[in-house]
Amino acid sequence: MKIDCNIDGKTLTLSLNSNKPLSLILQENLDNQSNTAHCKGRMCGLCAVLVDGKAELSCMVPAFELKGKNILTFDQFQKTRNMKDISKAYEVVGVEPCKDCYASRSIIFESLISSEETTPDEIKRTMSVVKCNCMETVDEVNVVTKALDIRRKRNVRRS
Amino acid sequence: MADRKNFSRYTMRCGMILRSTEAGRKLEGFEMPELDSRFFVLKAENIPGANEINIMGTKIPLLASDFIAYKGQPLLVLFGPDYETTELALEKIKAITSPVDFKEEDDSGFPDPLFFSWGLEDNGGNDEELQQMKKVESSFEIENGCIEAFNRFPILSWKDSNGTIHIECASQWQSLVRNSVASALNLSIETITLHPDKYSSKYDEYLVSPAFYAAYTAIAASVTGMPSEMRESGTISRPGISFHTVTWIDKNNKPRHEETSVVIDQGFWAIMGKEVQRQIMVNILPKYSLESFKAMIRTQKSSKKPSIFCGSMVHSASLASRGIHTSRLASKMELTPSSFILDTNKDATRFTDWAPRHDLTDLEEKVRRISIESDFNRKWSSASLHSGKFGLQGYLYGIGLSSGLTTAGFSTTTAKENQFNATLSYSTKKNVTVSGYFPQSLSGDRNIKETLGRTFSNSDQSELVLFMEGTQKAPDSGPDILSSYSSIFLTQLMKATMKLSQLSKKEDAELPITLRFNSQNLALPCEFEYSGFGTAVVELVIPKISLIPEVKNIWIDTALALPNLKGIKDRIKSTAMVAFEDLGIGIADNFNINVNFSSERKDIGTYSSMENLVRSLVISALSSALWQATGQGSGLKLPMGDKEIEKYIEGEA
Repeated sequence: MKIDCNIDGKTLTLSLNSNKPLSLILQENLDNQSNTAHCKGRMCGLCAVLVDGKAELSCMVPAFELKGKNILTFDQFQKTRNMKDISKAYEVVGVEPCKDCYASRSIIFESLISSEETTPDEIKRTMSVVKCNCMETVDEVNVVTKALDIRRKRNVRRS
Repeated sequence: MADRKNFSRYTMRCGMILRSTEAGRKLEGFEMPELDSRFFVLKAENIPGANEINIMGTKIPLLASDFIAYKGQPLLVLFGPDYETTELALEKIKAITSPVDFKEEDDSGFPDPLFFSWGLEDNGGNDEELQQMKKVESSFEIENGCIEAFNRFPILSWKDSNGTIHIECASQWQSLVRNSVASALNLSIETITLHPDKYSSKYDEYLVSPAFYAAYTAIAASVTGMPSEMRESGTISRPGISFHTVTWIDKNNKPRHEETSVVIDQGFWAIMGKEVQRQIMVNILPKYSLESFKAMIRTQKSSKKPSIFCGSMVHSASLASRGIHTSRLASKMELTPSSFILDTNKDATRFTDWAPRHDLTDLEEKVRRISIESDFNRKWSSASLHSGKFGLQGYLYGIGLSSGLTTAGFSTTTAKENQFNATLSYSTKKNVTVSGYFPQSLSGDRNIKETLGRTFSNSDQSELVLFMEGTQKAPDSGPDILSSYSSIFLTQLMKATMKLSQLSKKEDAELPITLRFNSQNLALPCEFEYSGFGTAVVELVIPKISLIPEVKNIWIDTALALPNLKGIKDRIKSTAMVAFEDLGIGIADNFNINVNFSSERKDIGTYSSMENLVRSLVISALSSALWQATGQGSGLKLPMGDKEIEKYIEGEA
């Protein structure tokens, strides 16, 4: 099956099995450096990517669903200003995700921040997909709130 | 020339492994489908050099050639044009096996049993005296287990026009990778170039597997001349350990004699068998006075995956066995475990060939404090009263306490080959700059800066401006443990600072002065020197509907010889959670974790193995709590599922 999609700003035409998960496409076909998770259904939550701006676990997205979608992985996202907001929030709150979940957690944070989702319950519910226990829920809520503040200030300065 | 930048994924060969589905069988051959020239099949007989990998002196075959030792052993590697095609082709390959007489008793290459005793022979030598005493018996078992990492490590090999084999893989065991590839290809080690990748893993042992995969890909790259890649998860296998301890206590409730026997199941090969025995022996030594003590540790062979040297695992299991036995003894004496520890523990541990004498005063203070903080004594007594048939709640309840000492460094330190180095310079502005290649964590530690400052200016450090900059982050993988190699580096850094100080004070000194040194790895695998201690209390409930143990509260109080690193408390919490995860223990809805950490910097040259201790304490306290909750007599086996718990409740076990 031929699939046209946009991954990390590059328009690609991929020839793949229609049910191949996005996580494996990123690793095996595109040699993506930030996505190495392969939990075989153990729901580790370490493979999040932004699909049309919304965080999704790439192992749950089959190839046929990629048609016409914009996918942003951490490889590209880490170079953006938005990631800098999140890094700054980590610094201010005084916590940082571990090396295993850094990419996935940051992507999910971005999804929450861009949708301006700040209710603690929603943050907790969304973040619960990441099974790594290096960060506490309270800190996750603080990071989102802080990063949103930083981004708003940045946007105000720019305007 | 296959330069790294020149080849695309379309010219690569992607490898996948065919693994055995059963153990203890003879490998007759393979049923192969028709494969075209795009494929390369790697079997044991195709390996140009030696079909073995040498892990710390134990030789393990790269691919099974004749006998299948354990389930999951690699039998064949198929390289194809892409992963999907390779997977489809691999499904058609079948291994032909036949039954074979496998004798587990044939344990050549396994260490002899380790014995240790003191006091009278045969536990007093007087059977009549023993018969008059109360006998307290406990047994504890942790089953073999295999844990797979969530991440897949990409391993890539290619051959350049000079005949040099390049390997790109994540491993801190660099010489293991290079040696394995060199011996598999029958080449000299100089022709193997390793490009270490960034990596992280919860256990060091995950990073042994890339050495196997590197050998497979290097052979494929060498034979086909095409870049070859594999993507496989790292695995670790936990050794199975069973403990049986018997203590005789007299009518005054004083422990008099004790016997402990330990059986370790390291799988088909015993990697660092002697070292594993040594680690266990250190922890099973009782901390209370005894007239006589006898211990025996035996390693047995089985058709299971060999456990790569899991230092922290045997350490934690042995401490857990001690924790459970303490709970049993306390229960027999009608004391709480904390009172038992405070009443019966000596002031210091016994000096042995394996571990020096440790002062226990501070540890007892910690036990006292955590008991008050967690209200342990009241909860323990209440749980003992309401357990078993008297339990009217909809759940079973247990609380456990553990205390212990940690080791310095980490067990697999010997294999870490990071060549740390540093350059120290004293500038004309009278600033000292330290730069080089060493763990980033060292450069951020204020205590280290202060210590170096004091070392340099002897008494007055106000004049000194110390910069620790330009450091490259050394890849220090695995658990959040600063290896003893790091501590050696620090000791050497201090000596170099002292020398720089002397040179700067010379009258004819020409500034700037620069010193450069490389640290030397003199560390032993695991040092049982004083490096920290801690206590833990775990409170758990087992709902009678689900019968799945759930942790409700944990208190951890540690004093470790570690710098006060950023997020150290989070790392302690994370280690505790990983220990629960490994043993299949759930987390209750109202779960709460309390961590206290204090930095013990009595000796700056000693670094604690944080994971080693926290994991031990948590498993030990958890086992005691589980033992109390299930009221299961003398035996406990982990991991424990709902069926086992049901058996214990119904009194069938």
